[in-house]
Amino acid sequence: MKKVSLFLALILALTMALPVSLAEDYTLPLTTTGETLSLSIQENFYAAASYADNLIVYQELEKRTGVPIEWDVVQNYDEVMNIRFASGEKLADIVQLPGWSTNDPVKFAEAGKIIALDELIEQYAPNIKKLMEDLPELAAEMTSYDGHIYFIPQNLYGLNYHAPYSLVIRQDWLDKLELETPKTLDDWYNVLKAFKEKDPNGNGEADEIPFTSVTAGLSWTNAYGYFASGFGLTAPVTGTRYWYDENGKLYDQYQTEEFKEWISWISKLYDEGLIDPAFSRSSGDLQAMHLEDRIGATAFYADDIASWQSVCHANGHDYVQFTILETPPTPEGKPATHVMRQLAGGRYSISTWCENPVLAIQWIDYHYAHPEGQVLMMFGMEGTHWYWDENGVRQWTEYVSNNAEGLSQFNVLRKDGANPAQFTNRTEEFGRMCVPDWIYAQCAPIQANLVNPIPTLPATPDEIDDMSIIDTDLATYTSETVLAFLQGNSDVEEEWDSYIATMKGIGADELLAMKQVQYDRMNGVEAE
Amino acid sequence: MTTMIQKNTRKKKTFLQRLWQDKAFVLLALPGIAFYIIFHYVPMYGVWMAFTNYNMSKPIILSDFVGIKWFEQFFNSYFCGRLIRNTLTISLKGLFFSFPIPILFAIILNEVRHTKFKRTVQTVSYLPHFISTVVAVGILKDIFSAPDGIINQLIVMLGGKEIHFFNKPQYFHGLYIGSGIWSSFGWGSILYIAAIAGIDPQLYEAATIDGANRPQQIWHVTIPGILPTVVMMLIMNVGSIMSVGYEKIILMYGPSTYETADVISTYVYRRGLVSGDYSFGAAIGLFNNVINLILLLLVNKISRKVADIALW
Repeated sequence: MKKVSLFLALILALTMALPVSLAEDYTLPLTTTGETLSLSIQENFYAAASYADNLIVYQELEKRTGVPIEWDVVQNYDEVMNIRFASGEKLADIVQLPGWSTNDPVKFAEAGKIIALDELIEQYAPNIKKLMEDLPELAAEMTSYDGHIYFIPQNLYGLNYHAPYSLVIRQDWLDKLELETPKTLDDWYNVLKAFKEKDPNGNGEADEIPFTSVTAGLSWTNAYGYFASGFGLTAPVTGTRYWYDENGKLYDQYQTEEFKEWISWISKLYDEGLIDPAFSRSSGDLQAMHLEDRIGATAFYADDIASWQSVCHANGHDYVQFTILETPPTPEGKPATHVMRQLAGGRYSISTWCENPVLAIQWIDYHYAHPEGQVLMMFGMEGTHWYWDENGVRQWTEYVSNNAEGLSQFNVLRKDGANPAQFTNRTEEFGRMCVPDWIYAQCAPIQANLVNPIPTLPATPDEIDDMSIIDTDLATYTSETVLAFLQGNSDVEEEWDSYIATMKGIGADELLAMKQVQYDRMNGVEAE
Repeated sequence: MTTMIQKNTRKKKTFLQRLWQDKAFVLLALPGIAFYIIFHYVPMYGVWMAFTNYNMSKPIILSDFVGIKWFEQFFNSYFCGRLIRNTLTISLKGLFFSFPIPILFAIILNEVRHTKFKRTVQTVSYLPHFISTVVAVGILKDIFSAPDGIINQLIVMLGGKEIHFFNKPQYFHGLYIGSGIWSSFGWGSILYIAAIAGIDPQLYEAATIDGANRPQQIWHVTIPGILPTVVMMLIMNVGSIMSVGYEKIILMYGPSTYETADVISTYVYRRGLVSGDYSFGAAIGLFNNVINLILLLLVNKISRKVADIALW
């Protein structure tokens, strides 16, 4: 009898001593013992305000959660952290994984550096769970090839959806030359030709550059790739080499006839001087050239297009108007497939040295996914950074939208610790608030064409080994050959067969087969 | 009796005894020797990484052995030939054009009588050495940019068409080596200026007496006087032929110039040093170092045979 009652008493005591967090939801503060969590991350994008100074938004977070943060802000993050991981040093409780989005978290887990998060999320992180249900693409990004979750990724969806990378044109030039907004490829050809010949900037010299691109190379920032939708390829074709057909089979867009047609079209434009002879320029150069009224059209991030326009207006060029355009449909009228930027970027994990992983996952859950915590981290504090207007719509305060020191919206937030890289969660509301209303309105029609990109395909270490050498060689060969085709240094009609043959020789088909295996694995399709 | 005591006073000293005799010098050299042993010789075991599949969960010695897999991968790469060709071309062209310039500069500067002018020129010539690679390439890109760079403005003014220097493979070597010469000739000439200063002035007097004019003196006195220095510098430069560094090239190249600009180190960089492909990097590094060593030994031997000057 005594033993049973002692046993019962013990059970009772235990259940009373258990923290509230064992239940599905938790309450704030997460802890009252002042227990700290250490965090290793890279420096603030707004470099003038370091996270190590415990910026005000994080101070508010600490007040709410009761968890002080020990900051470990690292310069040259990837180099330093790769060495720390390799050398067996003790890691912080929460670490940003080195290599941004191209690392292998399973490798880190097997090496005993980070822990699996499946159980923790299941039991202690209700908001992360809900986020994964609402955004299955994000859940797919988070799951590694062994089926486990090893990191929490950035969620960039909101801004990608509301401020996509898109084609943009000088509306005032179109108005001046009485041209319609270009929709099809032929429209674009005629408009660019008019820009070249009819002197829209009115200075009497043929110094206009009808179309250019920001940043070189064949990444998705290559503006020329956005015309590829007119040939039935994805827009941009540069940066989305592999795409899927209606049967879920991956194919290499760079080997298709349509790709050849796209190359021919672009090189014809280049030949006729309708494309920038320098091919591409830095965004700083482009901003300067906008002030000189030299650029007719390009492609860029919608929110940055807004800042181009405001800088022009601020410098007395009030007539400058940019319009964001849909990427062209095919001649048969098939609408464009406009691929959004990658949904997730940086990855953040809990290390094996963390003594209280439950506290860690709750802390993450609160400020990453909980409705109030996420608002604090992304939008800042009520009153200081945002307020409710009379329609119940959240608006930025003057401090953010019209900053006295001339800082952009993003930078004002970052200065105070909000909108960080780590655990960033760009919801649709955030996307809407980050662009001026006119951009938001212009992007709306484009949204019908937006599709999610294929997530980073999870690869086993053996696959990575086999893929690495083919990948580097193929990327090198493709980028230089396609650029040579586009710039007219090499004739695409003549060299096409040898281009295909060389790629096959390097191993393009083997690489495609490996990617298909990974794609199937990710989608849960059984291997044949 | 006295003869027996005298017998062993010139006994040969052992190595340790000779060390003890020179203990002051040994002590002076000890930190340097220790530095080399600890930081250069001991870590050599790490070269084992080139033959294994190193990952961070096991120490280097215990990682999975893969033999020559990385070397096979590299040599089977589609671009292997081009990478080696570009590496050697850039190094050899660099050596050919930039090696003589500090020497010529030192010799000419030596002829200047006006000391103040000489000192000023010398100091100004070192300044580019202190400008960081990133800044120097930034300036270079600015000067050669199209359409607004100075060079292109000049070309257009003289009636030509503007040239996109950084997009065309044929200009890469010129830009790379040219800017390298600009950065390094001043600093590199210091050694030769010092060597020239070390030539016995009596040799010049003897030459004057024999009726030699200035150019003849340079040819017959100065150049032979610095020849040992020149040959040693040449041998040392040959020892780094395969090691064209990637930092400056990455700042200057792009897919349009891969044909002439892509070297072994930039390829390995793209392969993924940042994502931790340490083994592959180690294997290629080993390959480079072995070639460098062979070349070094070869040139040293040739030099000893031909000119009787050698590093060892």
